[in-house]
Amino acid sequence: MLLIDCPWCGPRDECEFSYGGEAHIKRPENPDKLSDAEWADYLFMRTNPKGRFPERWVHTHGCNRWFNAVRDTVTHDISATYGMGEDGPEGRS
Amino acid sequence: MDNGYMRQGPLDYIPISAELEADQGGNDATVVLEDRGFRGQIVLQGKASDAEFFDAVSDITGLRPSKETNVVTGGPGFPRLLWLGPEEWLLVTEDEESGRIMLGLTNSFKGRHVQVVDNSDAYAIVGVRGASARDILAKGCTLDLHERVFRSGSSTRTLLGQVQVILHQVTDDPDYEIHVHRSFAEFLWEWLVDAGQEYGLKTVRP
Ligand SMILES: [Zn+2]
Repeated sequence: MLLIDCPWCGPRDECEFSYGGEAHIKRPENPDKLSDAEWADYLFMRTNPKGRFPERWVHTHGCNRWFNAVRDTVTHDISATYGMGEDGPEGRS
Repeated sequence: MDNGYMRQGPLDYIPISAELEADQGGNDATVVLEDRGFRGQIVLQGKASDAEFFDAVSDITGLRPSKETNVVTGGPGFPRLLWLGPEEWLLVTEDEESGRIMLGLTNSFKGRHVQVVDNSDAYAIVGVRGASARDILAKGCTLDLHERVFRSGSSTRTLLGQVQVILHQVTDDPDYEIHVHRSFAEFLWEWLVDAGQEYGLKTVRP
């Protein structure tokens, strides 16, 4: 089990949280100008690094707020948590 | 309520054995499980930066929403304002007060970006009190319930026996109140009865 440091509640057990996939993915400004391939890239394609990965989590069974976390996909070590819309230690990539 | 229809609480039909009813006060038990009955339960959401929101809630209820994590304003009496998140609170009132307070809040926030929802009948309230109460909750809750961390006047949403609950420690005894969705109330009640068996848990009605 992971202890995840919710930016509002502090360290809480993993089972209180839900996962929201890769963080900092921005919706394209003009979707109708995109090719199908570009739109599909926005919708479906995610980076899958071995190592530190900025991702979204929500404290479903707690304060109910979304936030970002940097998790190492090899060790599960969570090196940072920070609010939505904020820049993390990895930037917005 | 006295307006001519049968109002049924979520835990009303749970059988409480004659043996336990004989000891209503449960005074010799180290832990007592109790249906706390009907209360007003109003969810409030407002922006942390909206000073008028805080002032209005304070005018109507006499309580200022806490900006501090897990901190309840008011209590052990009523009303109480439980912290649920950075911009979300649960106002707990006496049953007969909830209509008046709900009306006051709704009128005050008309046309404003504030959420006021009467959830009174959505949750059952289960009380767990006594010397072993903390140990029983700890069997199914990952929160650190040590009094240095979660003490009287603390509240939060969390999981208990895999059920989402709002947990409030009301007094130092300790006395906990658990707000649970009514459809999960029977399961959670039975879970607590089972968890409390080794401590001689008793069940009582108010
Ligand atoms: Zn949280």
